[in-house]
Amino acid sequence: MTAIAWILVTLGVAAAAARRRTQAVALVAIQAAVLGGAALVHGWGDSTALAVAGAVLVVRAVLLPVVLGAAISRTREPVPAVGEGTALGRTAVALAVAGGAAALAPALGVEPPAAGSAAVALVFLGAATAVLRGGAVHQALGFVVAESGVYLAALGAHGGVPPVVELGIAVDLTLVVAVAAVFGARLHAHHGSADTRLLRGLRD
Amino acid sequence: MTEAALAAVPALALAGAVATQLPRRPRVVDRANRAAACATAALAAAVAVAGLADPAAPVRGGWLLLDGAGAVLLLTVAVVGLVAALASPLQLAGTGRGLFRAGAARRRYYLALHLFWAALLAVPLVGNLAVAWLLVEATTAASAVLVAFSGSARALEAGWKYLVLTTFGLAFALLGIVVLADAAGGGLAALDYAAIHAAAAGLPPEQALTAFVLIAAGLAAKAGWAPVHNWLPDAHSEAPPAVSALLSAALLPVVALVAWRAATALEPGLPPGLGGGILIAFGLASLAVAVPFLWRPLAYKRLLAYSSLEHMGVIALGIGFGTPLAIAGVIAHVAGHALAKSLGFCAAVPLLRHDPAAARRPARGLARTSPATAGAVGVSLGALSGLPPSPLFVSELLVLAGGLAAGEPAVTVVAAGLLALGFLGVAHAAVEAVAGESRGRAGSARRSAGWTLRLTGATVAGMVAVAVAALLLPGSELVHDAMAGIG
Repeated sequence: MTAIAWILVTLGVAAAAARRRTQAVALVAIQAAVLGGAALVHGWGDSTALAVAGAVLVVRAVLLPVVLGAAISRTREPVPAVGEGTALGRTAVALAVAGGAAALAPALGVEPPAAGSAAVALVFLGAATAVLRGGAVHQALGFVVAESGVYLAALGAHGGVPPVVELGIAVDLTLVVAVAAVFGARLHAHHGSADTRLLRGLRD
Repeated sequence: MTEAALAAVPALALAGAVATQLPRRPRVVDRANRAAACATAALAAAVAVAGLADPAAPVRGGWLLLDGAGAVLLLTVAVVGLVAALASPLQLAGTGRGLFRAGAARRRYYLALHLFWAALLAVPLVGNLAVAWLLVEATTAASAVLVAFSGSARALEAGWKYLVLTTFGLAFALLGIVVLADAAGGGLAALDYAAIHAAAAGLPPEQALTAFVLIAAGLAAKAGWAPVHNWLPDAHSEAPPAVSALLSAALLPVVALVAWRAATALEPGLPPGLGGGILIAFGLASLAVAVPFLWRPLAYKRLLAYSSLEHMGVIALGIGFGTPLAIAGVIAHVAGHALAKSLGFCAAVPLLRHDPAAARRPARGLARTSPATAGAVGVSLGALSGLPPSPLFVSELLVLAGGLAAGEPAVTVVAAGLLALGFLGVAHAAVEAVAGESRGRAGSARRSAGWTLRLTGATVAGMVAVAVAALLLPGSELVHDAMAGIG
């Protein structure tokens, strides 16, 4: 589990740094598949846990990437986003955020303890992705990465998280990502780009 | 009262959401909305009144819970939701293409509105922290769509900010709930407020503390408490007015209720005073951030938005103090704020139609150009400023007295000073809006003027009732039950 936890963090860093939106979606889909696979192994022998893990895997690794892929195909960007720094710079910042969060995280009590540190790192990486990247798709991916951190912590929790809550989280996440995709499309229609940094009209 | 009656409240709101999708003609869609809203509000009010009639015997079953505090919030959400639904047809008149194509916009609006309302009605009735989190998160998607409904660049920006900040905030709260589930031993029943309260003293102290800090910080982002409030002024000012009323007068206090219940449930496992201390810090920060903005010449709805931040600060202070006087103040404040803010936002419908510039500049001189709107704006801002005999004057006094009773004189003095400054700022804005130099032309739509007058009259009657109730609340069974309800 420890190795899987750090693989998930590595994929999260790569998604935060990826230049293309399609690359970032693919990386987050792989991350969701790895996490879903771990959940299936974790729930082996318990039919309810397996069914829930399977459903969550389908939502996170298939449905959400399809929604975001459709959003990308409807919002073609004529030029790459500017002002997001280089891929190397983004990687350095994402690594610093993940490393800092993991090092400073309090003990969550989940097993193994490294999964708790990785979970906190993923939640902060998700938030960092939204700060580092202006694109609506990248920011929506930030939601998914952050929720992956919570899901990882839930896998390590004693007794797990109730199935109804896991399914509810998956439904809520799907709705939020779908709304983000709609907003991205409208933003693209307004400005010719789905870069949320173009939204700077509201100031006091 | 049975569990089925509690479950029927959000179920009826969901049915209302479906009912508004069946007709095609706009006028029939509006009628379906009105009928669904009246039925939902009537049932919710009946359930809430039954809960308030015997607050010492809360209804429990499965995930459901109806205690005194939940009944107050349920009644509040029912009234605010009804007002929002009834104000929506006026607000939608003449709406063209926005976030949705013109032909479908009205039905999509009502779908999102009733789904949002259903989730808000369900939260006070839920006795389980994880299920409450799911419902609070469920409000995000529906309400973000409503905030950005006009489809303008500013509305998109506000909706996007709201979506991003509250989703990440709630992710942190969810991590806290997972930490709590781990400490409590797993299973949905372990996350019932009563089960958490019973087990809290035996939880590992570090885990209980981590869980609470994550939950409180995450919920603060959704409740609009400073310093994680950045979405609030934008969403409240750019959303359609009826949606702003639901966001301000229903969503924020409902999330505060979840934070309060979580703090109360976890209290035996936390260092003494820490839970209340964190809420007091949110309260003072919210007041300190809001007051300077209340002194600035802000556009009308933006002024109301910062007023929401101020009043959420008062509510956070009250539940942080946690004394009977302060809790009595919180109950009265939630109800009084809901009435005044609903009227204030609904008055923005005729105001913006009459003077579109008020969307970007302060409202001025309405008494000469639009007397009905001036009356509504004056009553709303006067009450929100805390001008006696507003119920908010009584509730703020109760909260401050509760602060002294809690042994927090320094916090109380600072809060009283900030509230006095806030009063001056909002009272000045009220005078300017009603009697200042006018920039519009006289006359307003007769239909909206009649609706505004009726709403103002009903709100004044409601506020008088809340003010009287506020005087009777200290020492009442309702306050006692609200403080011990989840145990």
